[in-house]
Amino acid sequence: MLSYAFVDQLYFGELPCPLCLMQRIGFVIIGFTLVLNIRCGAHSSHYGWGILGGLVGMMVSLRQVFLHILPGDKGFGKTFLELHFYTWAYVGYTGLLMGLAILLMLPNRDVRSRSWFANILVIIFILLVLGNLASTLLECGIGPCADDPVKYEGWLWLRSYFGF
Amino acid sequence: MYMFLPFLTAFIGLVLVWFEKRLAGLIVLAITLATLLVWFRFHATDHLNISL
Repeated sequence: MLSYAFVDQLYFGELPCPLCLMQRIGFVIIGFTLVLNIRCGAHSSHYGWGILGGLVGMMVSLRQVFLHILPGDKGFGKTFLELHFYTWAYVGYTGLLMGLAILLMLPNRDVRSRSWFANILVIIFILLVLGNLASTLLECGIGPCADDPVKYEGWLWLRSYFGF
Repeated sequence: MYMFLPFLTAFIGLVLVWFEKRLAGLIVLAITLATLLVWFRFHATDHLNISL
């Protein structure tokens, strides 16, 4: 979800709105708990935090769905397979919460891993979070984000400040 | 509204977890979740002036 959001942002030039950024944070929280499982071993508290993050993200996506629920409303941004990204986020959160529930039911096996595959997965996720941090700073600067962003305001501020 | 803050705390937490600082990572994760909740409350009440 996070990587496709980046593709949409960088390739199709669609900047994320504040609610979209909050939905990304919800996915980051769920990913964080899975990284905790990989690096420190499975623990019920990790799943608990993941479920809490998923619930908050689900509330944010549901709110955005409700903002555009009136008949005739075109919705915000582009669509993917006839659904808007915030609707996909809601579907994604539902699937992830179900996944976390199933993981909680399984025997608490040792999922701790130091294999190169696990390390690469974790590093890619950390880089995705770093990329989101950089893109949010470039989009909004350190002030409030525009409701319907069309330009990288933080980047423009940097350019005018340092004169390049 | 400092929208980058939850990404920053999540990044710091992930670096801590990489070095197996589990408790510190969990604390930073809780801060990330709390920030997201506060931001969402702000957006849902004051920012768009729409009451839930």
